[in-house]
Amino acid sequence: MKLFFILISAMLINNLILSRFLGICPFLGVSRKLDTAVGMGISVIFVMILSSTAAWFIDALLKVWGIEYLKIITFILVIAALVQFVEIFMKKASPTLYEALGIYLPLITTNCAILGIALLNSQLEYNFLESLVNAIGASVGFALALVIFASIRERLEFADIPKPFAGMASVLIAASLLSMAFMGFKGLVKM
Amino acid sequence: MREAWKLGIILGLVCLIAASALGIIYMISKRSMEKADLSAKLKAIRVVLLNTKTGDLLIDRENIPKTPGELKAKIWKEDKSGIVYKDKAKNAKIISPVYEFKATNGNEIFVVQFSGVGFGGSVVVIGSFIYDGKEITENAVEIVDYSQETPGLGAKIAEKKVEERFFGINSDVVSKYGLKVNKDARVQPQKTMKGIEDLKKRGIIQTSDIMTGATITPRGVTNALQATFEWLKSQLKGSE
Amino acid sequence: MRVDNKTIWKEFTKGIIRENPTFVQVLGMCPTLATTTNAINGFGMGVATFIVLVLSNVVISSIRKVVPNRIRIPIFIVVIASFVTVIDMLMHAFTYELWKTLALYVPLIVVNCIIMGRAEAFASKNTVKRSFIDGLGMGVGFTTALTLLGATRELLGSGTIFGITIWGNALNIFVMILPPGGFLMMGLLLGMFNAIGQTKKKA
Repeated sequence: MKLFFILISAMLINNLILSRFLGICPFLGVSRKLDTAVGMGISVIFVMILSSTAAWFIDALLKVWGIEYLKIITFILVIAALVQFVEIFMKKASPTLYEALGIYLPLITTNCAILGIALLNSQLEYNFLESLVNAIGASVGFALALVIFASIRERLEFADIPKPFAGMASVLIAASLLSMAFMGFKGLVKM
Repeated sequence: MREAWKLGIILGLVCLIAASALGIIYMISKRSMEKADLSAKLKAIRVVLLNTKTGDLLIDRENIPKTPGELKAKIWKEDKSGIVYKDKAKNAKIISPVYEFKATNGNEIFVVQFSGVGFGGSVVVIGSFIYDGKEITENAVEIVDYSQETPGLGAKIAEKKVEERFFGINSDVVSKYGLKVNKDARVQPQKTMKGIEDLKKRGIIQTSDIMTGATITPRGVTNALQATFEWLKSQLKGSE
Repeated sequence: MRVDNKTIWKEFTKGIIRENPTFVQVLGMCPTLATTTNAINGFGMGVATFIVLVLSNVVISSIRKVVPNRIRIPIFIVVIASFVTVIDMLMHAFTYELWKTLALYVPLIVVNCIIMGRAEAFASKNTVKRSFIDGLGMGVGFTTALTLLGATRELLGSGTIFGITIWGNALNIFVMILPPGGFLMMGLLLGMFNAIGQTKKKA
């Protein structure tokens, strides 16, 4: 029950982008076209699950050794290394997949959503299973918001917008409306 | 291949330098960090040791702990794991240690740090409970950690006028009615202070008029408060 | 190499106006939107980022000639992460309340695109002095933007600025403090600055 709650909460209620404000850069950067959004979304799900697993073990190790102050530096290095590793592995194992997702991978290192979820898992003292579920929920929620938003933006391209608001300004206002819609999910939970 | 080894070694070296530099800085600033944690905790304890009706201190002024050692002397119950008691059903935890103070009028005062699950994550509360030998009356609560809550919604839990809605609850009421927020008790929100106080006598805590749209967080705190009452009662019964 | 005062001044102001990281480059949006529920938080976050930005710019530009090109990015990350850890510890020790409210967003300064962006685009190619000035300018620009956004949201949402009551509860546009309000206000401010820029160009 708790796991299910974590999943729903991470996916919809505390949606990474629209309510926790994590991963805004890719959200604004790669949401211009629907297919790039889908590619980015899948890559994030993939890397987020791997990195949260790795981060959980490292966190446990750091706690045993009492050097938790190195958390930030080790987490970010592990994420960077992991992304590199996934990139190399994907290139060798499945060139078609690499062709589709490869260009998004370097962007993911500086996606604060990945580091954010790793740190959040550690801060909330989730156990391994809870961390994993949280990572799955959060990344799926990220992909969901990204895909929805990309669909909105494809329409926005054709809209007649006052000149000062053309470009990023109107995109942000559209994001605000989507965020408001996601706030509706807050009524979903009654513990 | 040799090139890769060289780069790896350089990178390792840089990490080592950074890690040792951080280690040194950590050792220097560790005392200050602990001091900051302690002074925040002491401040909260001081606040809950004020009588919420009169504004006077409940204990003698010289009994207020000022140093880690003095605080340590007040420990009543503690647990190595950091958690004294866990109520799974209510999602509540009582955080070690629990402190005990002697009131000026001879009553015992327990200062308990407990946490409940709010909207975004755990909400940590410090509460003071007065025990006069028969029943337990909660004096005050102070919300100390609510960083996971949404600003403007769940985060309102830490406002003074919301905290006040949790003040002055009595163990008799808790065992008779249990504790609920007014939305769950299906009671219309009261407009007057007296109405709100009357609700408290039936174990109903009203926050819906201030915290519009946020029920989960006050419900989490209410549940945790009830769990704390139950735990205190079981502990006090055992000791007699 | 001597750099005359005019160039320095230009280097400094570009971060505040022409290349403002927030309103012109639209970088580092995560902390910008998340921490600006009031002016104090926005300002605090701005200053923390500012310090990391200046320090990392200085260090990275001073080691730029000895760092092997292929592993420069991981080394930059290590430098930035170290400074962020230091800031995190110092804030814990000396600005406890602010540290508690900003919580997760202090360690996340590591992945703020502005810092990595300046390291890669500027500090790794320029002298220490110029990188320092660049960091100062960008930092001031970022802090100003965050404080402005925070102050506007606080004023509209709770009627105060820096905790000082302006009109109290008279105009409680509550949504401004909530996440949608962050996106909305940022969009509106961006539109406003665009409008100002466009009229200036015409004139």
